[in-house]
Amino acid sequence: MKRGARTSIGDRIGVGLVLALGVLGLAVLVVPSLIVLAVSFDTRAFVSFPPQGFTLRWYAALADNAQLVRAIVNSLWSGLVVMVLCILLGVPAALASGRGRFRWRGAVPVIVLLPHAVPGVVLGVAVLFAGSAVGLRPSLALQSFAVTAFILAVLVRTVLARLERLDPALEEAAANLGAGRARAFRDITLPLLLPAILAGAAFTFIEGFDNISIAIFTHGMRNPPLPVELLGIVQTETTPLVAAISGVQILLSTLLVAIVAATIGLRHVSD
Amino acid sequence: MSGQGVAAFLDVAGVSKAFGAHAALDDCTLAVRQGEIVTLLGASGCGKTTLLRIIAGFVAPDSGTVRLGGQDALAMPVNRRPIGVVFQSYALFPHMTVARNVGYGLRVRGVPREEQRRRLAEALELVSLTAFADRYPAQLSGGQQQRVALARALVLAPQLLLLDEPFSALDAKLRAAMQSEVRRLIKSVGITAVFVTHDQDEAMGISDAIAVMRGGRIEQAGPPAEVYDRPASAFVADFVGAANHWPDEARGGRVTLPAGLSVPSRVIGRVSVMVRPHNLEPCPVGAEGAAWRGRVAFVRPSGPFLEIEVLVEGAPLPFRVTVPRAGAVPAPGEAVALRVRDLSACFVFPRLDQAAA
Ligand SMILES: Nc1ncnc2c1ncn2[C@@H]1O[C@H](COP(=O)(O)OP(=O)(O)O)[C@@H](O)[C@H]1O
Ligand SMILES: [Mg+2]
Repeated sequence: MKRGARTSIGDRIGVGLVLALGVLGLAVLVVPSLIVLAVSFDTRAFVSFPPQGFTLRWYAALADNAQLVRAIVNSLWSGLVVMVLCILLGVPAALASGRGRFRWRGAVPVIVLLPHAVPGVVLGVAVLFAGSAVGLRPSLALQSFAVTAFILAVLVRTVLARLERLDPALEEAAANLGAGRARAFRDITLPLLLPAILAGAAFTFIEGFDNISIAIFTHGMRNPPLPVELLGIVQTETTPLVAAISGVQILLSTLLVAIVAATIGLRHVSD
Repeated sequence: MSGQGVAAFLDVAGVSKAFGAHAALDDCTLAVRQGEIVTLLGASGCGKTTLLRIIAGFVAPDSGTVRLGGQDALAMPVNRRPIGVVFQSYALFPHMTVARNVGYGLRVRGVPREEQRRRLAEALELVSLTAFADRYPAQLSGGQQQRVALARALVLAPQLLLLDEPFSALDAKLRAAMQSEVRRLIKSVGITAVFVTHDQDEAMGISDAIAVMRGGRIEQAGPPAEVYDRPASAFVADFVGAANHWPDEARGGRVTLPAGLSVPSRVIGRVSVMVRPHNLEPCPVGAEGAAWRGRVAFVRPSGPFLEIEVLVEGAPLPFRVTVPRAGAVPAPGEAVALRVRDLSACFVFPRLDQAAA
């Protein structure tokens, strides 16, 4: 009896804690986003809360601002390049680490994690200096490579975690049924890893799009990405245009998460 | 097992495999005749799975040969061996339906569409899963998953079927049903099979022959009755069915039991005389030819039999006695004597200083 009562109090504390954390998460992540979104539709030419009226004029102003549109396109490119590079480098790295038989396979996630452990600002400066030492000027490409090095760990870890939970007997079963290595990979391993690859890819895309600490040192002077451009704008601009830019970013992130959720959700993948 | 002069269909000879310093298999030799179901029986960690994996081609042995139908199986690539495997975890592809799981091998091997359809239907029919063709593995019960795994292997008509503890994930009742079902299935398609278990009842129930493994070696192989009635070692006697141990001394090729009964012995010195529970018979104290005296500790029904535990004077462990459930039943606490029904069915092995587990 006593024990039962204690457990139930423990349960209540646990549930309370989870609820509190959930509310906190909501407060920190979602509420500011909603405020920014609300402000972006304000009819007044200054930022204030609560907003008044409803207009799309700040979004129109954004679309008319060639410099900002250019920055958004730059950031989209950066996100895309970072994502593709991370998939091309990260999936094989995870496979080598999870399924390889070589001696240092355990070192792969550690090596991949190293740039991630360095503060972004330090990594940005380091890449800038190292780049100039070998004649690489700051550019959209240099920025994308640097962010790739930084964020690769996330994709490798996501894919590796999934790989380690996959029954190795699945690949053996495929081989036993007649599939060669490539065929077994295509038919069995890859489809089962796909949710993890997509989730990791979404993360890396967002980082490529959104990163500022590394991008600020490595971006091309004529090709600033959106966060860098935004940083410049907030210092002078006080209209809800800034909120509209954030609104676009929020929209893109939400869209991406929705795509991933839908893709993974549609596949009958059971863990 | 192959008798002398009968060619083995599966012939494993002198196979050894070490993982680091640990020898998982040590000079393992096994011969299986065509159409036979052979069970590898042994405690966990004795190398059963490793032997299956070597036969299937998932790992290469350090030494030794594996021949299948007279051909060198080790020379065949893993995906070309005519061997079906039912994995312990079933290893069903979670993202494929039952039909796609079972049809996978046919697709990979490029079997013509029409034939694929026919063989898939036959295989599903064989394991009574036609109605479940469009389900995903996660939507099936353990017994159904097991049958999918079986169908997936059998649809390719392999020459040999390997089953690694296929019932270990099932509950006791389903297990008993699946055992006879799987034996019937294997016999109906007439395939040669090597089956792995650590459960001696399962081994007895399903196999034409049993190979008892211990520490990476095959300790004894033969038909179930032979392994049970003529165990080659104390380990086998203990592992395959229960046995009572009586510590004694052997002199001049004999062991003399308390009532002056004598059992032939091939060894001398400290020995253990082992008597199966059904080879003992309770009788009144002082009865003629009773070797041991003791007190009944408890009596419990076991199917059509009664199992009696007797604390025998001079024995380190209580004796278990199995008698038909008819006639007078000794009550707990009662003094009884025990008589051996068939002296020739006692086994004598050297006594180990520590009781073998
Ligand atoms: N891949 C492996 N690496 C290292 N040790 C292994 C490996 N596979 C099996 N072993 C060891 O070999 C021994 C036999 O294993 P196994 O064949 O799985 O036994 P069983 O199937 O009889 O339980 C065990 O001690 C096990 O720890
Ligand atoms: Mg095993």
